Amino acid sequence: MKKIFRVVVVVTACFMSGCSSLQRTDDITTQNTKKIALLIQDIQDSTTRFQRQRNAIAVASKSQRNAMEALALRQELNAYRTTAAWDIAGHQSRTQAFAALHAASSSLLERLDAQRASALAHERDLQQARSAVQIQGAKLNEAAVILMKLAEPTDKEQSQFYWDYVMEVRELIKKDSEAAAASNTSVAQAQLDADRSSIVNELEKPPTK
Amino acid sequence: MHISLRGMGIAGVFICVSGCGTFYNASNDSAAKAASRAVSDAGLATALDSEREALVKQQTERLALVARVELAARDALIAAIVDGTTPQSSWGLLQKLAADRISKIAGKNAEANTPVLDPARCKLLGPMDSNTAFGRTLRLVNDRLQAESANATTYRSQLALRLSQLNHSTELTCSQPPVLPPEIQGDSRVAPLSSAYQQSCARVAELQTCAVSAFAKNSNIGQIQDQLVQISVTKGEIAVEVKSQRDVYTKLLRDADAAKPREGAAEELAKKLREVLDRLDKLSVPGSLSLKDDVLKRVNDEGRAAALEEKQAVLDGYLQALAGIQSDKASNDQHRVFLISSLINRVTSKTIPTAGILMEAEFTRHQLATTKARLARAEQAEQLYRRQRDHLMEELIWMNESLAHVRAAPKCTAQPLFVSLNSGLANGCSLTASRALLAFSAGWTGGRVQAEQDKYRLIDLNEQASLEESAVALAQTDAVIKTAVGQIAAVHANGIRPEHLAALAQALSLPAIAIRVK
Repeated sequence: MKKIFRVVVVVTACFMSGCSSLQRTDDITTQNTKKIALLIQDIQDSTTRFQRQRNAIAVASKSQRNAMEALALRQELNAYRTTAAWDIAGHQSRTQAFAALHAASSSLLERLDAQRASALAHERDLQQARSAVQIQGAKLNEAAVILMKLAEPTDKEQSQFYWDYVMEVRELIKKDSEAAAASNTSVAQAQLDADRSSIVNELEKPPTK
Repeated sequence: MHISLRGMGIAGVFICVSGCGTFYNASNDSAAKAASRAVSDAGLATALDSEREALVKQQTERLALVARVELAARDALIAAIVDGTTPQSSWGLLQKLAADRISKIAGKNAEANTPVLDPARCKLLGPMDSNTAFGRTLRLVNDRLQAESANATTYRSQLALRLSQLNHSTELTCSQPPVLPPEIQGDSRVAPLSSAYQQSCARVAELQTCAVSAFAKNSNIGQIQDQLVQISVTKGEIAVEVKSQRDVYTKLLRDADAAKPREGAAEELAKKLREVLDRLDKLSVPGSLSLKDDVLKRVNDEGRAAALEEKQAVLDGYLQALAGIQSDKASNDQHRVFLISSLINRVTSKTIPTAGILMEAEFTRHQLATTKARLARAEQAEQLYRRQRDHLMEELIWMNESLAHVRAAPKCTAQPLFVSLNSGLANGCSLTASRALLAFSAGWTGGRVQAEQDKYRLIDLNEQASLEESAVALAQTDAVIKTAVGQIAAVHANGIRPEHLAALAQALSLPAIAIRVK
């Protein structure tokens, strides 16, 4: 009977300590899983914010381009009106002089464009070489982290490290890159809006001559 | 009684064993794995790739549109000049247009073609006639500046080549004298090249100061030149600050590595090292306040890049020492370990798993790449300002030439421009009119169109920065979130599975059966 009593006491003690430790680790896991779920939701909010920023720039850019298209059309019409009048009036020598001048300027422009295209191609090559190296580096690190985690015991206390780490890093990312993205968006949008306004002012002026 | 006692014993061991761990829950495991897969499949790191392609396309189209507007405006004005039926509506219009542009680009004095250079700031140009007109001095300064910039570039290339032959690499910029170790300074070719490079840089700076004096402060070039001077001042201030903080850090680390360990010293040293890195990270010099563009203000990040490089070196050194790659014992000395712990002090856990240090090293690499991208964009913005100034200068020179032709031939300008243009080979006015028009057109094509495009390329940079910063935020988040969700999946997968318990039960039951048989 004494034996049974001892076994019952030992089993109960084990059960109690096991259960409380089980309860604690479960609580930590549940709590942190909740935090990560909320974090994923927060990332979703960030992507929505990025989308809104892209849309804002796209709208500002579109209306600025519309204004610029209108200005280009107006200038082209100005030149057309003058040169068409020469053709109709039989002022071929004016048309020829204008065309010769135009041809000389176009050839200068072609040379400048070719020079610019070659510089751009060089810049692009350099940039592509750089990003390829970065992508490989990131993949290798991912593999190293996975292997290192396999080599270390899956300690539940250590899990707490990763959960805390991800939360804090996420905060840093929000304060740094996400804030910078928002600021650059506002600047680009303001520049486009200001430019559109000045084109609209230009359009409202009477034509030269 | 015997059996129930044994049964209770087995059950007790079971509970003890299983209670210390977590019971495996197949449903939780599969949910955690599904969540982990979903995070991987979300493709956060590549989410903005198609946006990037669209942005490049849209910006290319916009630049083409800018050129279209400017060329159409040029054609409309040239047509109007050729169309003019009176001297005033043809030559007069050309003169007014050229003079207006000169005034806008360089200021009122330039338009009046009066001498504008400050001789005190332009000693390098040699003795000048005080009546030298703007157009001629402009050419003089521009030619000399271009020649001297080319010299500086040549010396820089030669010096870089020699340094690479000596297996040494250092950043060579005019804003900061090259810092060379004594063994390199002693090289017979390095010393004269380094000195020639610095002298050439000094002459470029002096000529730029001279050129600034030619342009009114509120003129287009005056404003750009002011920004360029501010950039140069800011870069100089930053270089001095970064060097000074880096020297403090290097000395602290060197002294710490050499010091004999004593109680409490390691933590104290780590704290000091951390403070220097924090100062570098947050470095911002007064000069940067006068920079107008957001992208340009990032020149301040030079301090941050230096802090991240030092941080990365400490993390890499520690990891390499762990892997036995680096024999340097100092890499895992206590003060460095404390420093690492302090740098990753975002966590509450006292012990940092090695995988955590790997993650931090990768995050640091990411941050460094982002910082260098910001510095590269600031450099691009500076180049764009420089190019815009050069293109405006190009336009200015052409407009001056056009105006000079108009002013030099009063006989030709007494009749409508087209009459002069069409006056035949025998009449010199045809050549004067043609040259005046060609210069005007070339100024527009080779200067104004390009300068306008440069202005839009600055807007492009802000748009790109906005997109790239978002992409970086997503890529960095992707890297850490995968680990966290993967960890949740691992915790659920590592619980004690029913088959483990069955095997355990069987193993525990065997001696019991054996006892009973006996």
